[in-house]
Amino acid sequence: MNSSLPVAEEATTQPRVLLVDDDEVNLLLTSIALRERGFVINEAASGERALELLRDWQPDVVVLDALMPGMDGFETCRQLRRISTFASLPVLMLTGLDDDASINRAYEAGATDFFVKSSQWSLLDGRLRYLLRSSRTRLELELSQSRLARAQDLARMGSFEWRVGSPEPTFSAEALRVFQIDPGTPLPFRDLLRMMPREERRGKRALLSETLQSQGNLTRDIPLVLPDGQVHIIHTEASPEFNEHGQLVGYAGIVQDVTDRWNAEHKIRQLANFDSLTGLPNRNQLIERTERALDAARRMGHQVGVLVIDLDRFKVINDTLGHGAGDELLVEVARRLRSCVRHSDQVTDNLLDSMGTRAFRTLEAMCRLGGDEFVALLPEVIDEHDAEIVAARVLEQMRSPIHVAGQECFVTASVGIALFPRDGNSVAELIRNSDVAMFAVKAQGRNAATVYRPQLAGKGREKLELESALHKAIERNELVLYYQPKIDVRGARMVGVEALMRWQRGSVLVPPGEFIPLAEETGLIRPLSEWAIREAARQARVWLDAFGFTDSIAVNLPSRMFDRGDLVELIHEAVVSNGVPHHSLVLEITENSLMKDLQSVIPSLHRLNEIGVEISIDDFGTGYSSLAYLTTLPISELKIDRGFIRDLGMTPQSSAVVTAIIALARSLGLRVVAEGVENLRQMEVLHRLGCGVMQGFLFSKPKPADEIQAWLEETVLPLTASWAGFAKDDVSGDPSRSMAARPTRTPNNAN
Amino acid sequence: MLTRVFQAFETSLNRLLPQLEQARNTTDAAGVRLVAHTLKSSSATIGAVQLSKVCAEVEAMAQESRLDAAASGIEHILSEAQAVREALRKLTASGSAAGAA
Repeated sequence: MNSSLPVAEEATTQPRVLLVDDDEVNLLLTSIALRERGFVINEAASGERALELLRDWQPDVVVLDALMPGMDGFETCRQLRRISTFASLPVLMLTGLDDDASINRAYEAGATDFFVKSSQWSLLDGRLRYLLRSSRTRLELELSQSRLARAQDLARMGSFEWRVGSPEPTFSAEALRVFQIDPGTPLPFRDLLRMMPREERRGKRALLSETLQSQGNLTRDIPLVLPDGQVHIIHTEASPEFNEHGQLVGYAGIVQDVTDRWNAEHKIRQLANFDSLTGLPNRNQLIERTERALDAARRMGHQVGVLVIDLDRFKVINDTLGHGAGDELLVEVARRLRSCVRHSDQVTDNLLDSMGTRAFRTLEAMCRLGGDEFVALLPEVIDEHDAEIVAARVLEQMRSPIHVAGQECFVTASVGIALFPRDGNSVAELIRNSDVAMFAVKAQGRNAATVYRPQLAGKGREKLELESALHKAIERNELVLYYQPKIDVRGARMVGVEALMRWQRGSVLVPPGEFIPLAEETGLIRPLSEWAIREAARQARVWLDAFGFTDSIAVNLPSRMFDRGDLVELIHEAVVSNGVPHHSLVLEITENSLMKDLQSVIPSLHRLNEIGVEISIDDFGTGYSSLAYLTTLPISELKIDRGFIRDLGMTPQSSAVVTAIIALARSLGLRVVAEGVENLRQMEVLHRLGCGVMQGFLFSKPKPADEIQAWLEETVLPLTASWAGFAKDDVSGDPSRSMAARPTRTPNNAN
Repeated sequence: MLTRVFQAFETSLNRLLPQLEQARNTTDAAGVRLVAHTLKSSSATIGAVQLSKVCAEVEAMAQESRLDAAASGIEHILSEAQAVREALRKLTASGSAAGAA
């Protein structure tokens, strides 16, 4: 036999055939014939043997004799089909030529095809190859179908179609799964409509008939309550199908559960429009709402109110309690603020449509602009008083303390109000002017509300910027202490220095007059003062080591530092950790601030005195000190206000005051220091009046710490300065003027 | 190859003929039919046309359970099969002799 097998498609793999026949002769001949035609053959002489072979061998096709003793071909085929891996294995049943009954039985038993036994092998060969080809095609189709089904399943998608004239649509199994319905269950339009929320039904029915009428495409996300009881969003797309005459024959389309996507989109919308911390509408949403409110107001001719609400000194809270507590506080503030307006979270177009002309009122909201800044949008106000009522409500809401981080915080707010159209025509303009008003409130002392006035523009903001920069100055180490020597002119020697704070803001050195009042106002003075105390103690140590400095450094403190319970500890800690004695530091407090807070300050003064820290009264003579009090206070020094010194020798009154102060100090046993001494004449007068210790430009400007030693060596010790000549005669030979010869006090040991 | 076919046929006869006799003796129509059916095609395959023809007749009668009517046919099968077997043996012998020569 010539092996002219068709090599076209099965060249690479030889098809494997299981040949089952009880007739040995036929088995042998068929086997030989098929092998010659390129098949791989396994023979089985009975159905039982065939099933045995199949246990561990997978043929591409089975050729099965119908009539066999024992298990016949039909039964073998049936049993084989029960094995899932062979469910679609092609089975060719061999029957006799005249055996119609067997042919039918063969199909019933699950045979793929039948073949009449013949010794014309090429026919069998052709039939087998046809079977293999169709089997492969079928497998591919099944695979692609199952892939499609799986893809649809993964995409929660299914298909459906509807034919003109048919009352109901038909859905694929995957589509039914989308609807959470068992495969094969009919799903009529009526049931689908019932799954819709009631309010949707009418609209969707209209949509359907409209689509049909226009024979157009349908694309909609439809909410349906599925058997799991949840609302799912079913994305539906359908397009019309036409016959060759252009007549509509039906619709085909897909349904897909897009609930997850919807939720994600909702989440994105939420993130885009709402502040994640407080849940309030954010800046985007505020702008959108305000724009809509302005549109409505233009149409209907009413006014819109925009309130900018900024918490007072929130930064201080944030920094002292930490950001976590700050956030906690903001959440509570947001909750309170929200209650001040008829806040609605959602403004949807549908709502606007259905509620008609008054719908703009749902725009009313409390929004968070960022940080500690909030904006109330009032879409309709009658006049500014209307807006002021809301502002008053906001201030009132802030009145009770907020508990965060185990503490009671008192928070106030400053509110600026701007009205459309009077104070601005656009969102930006309204917010800006409302901001201006808010800054004006801050400048005037906070915790209030004010309506925008054009003359307010320009004020306030600068100060706020300064505040924010000053706040960062501490973190950024932008603060420095300058030192101005105190000179005892009688001995021509330095008896101490006053530390003066400077702010190195970029390349500019900001004098204290420009930021200390602000620091006092904002509460930043506390961290500033703490820093100054530590820095002065550190400097005392540096100078002690460098040139035996044992005098004191005077640090200016505001009265509010004295009512701190831990001021004594703070100072103690500062000197001890630097290994200098307590008297290295002198605290200066102005007469005014001392008198203002006298009662709360006195205990601290006593305790400071007990540990050896002396107190000096600054700017003395300007306040209205009760002399009676002065006698009881534990103070060591009075510093005569520079105003009196400036006028010395020019007005008789000035010398009278100075004389009186010196006399008072002497009678109380206090040192007296004259500040602002700028010329020799002033120095002479003071000396004559009995004040020997002075401070001023005549001697030295305030200097950076590292210039003090040089100044001492170049100016004081050689007595080269003009003022030194004055004391020369008294002091020449005074051993205490020589730095090296001065006894060095043993510093307090930190250990 | 012919030798293998004839050997297969002979093996088949050795198995089928006793089966046929036993089926006839126990009046097992189905058994008779199955042997007749199998023998019908295999004898046709090797060119034993007469035997195949008789087998077909017996198969048809057995299918209708007319074993009495098939009795002579069955006898005919047995004797014919014997004749075919003899003929094949001769053929095989000469075939192998020829092959050997």
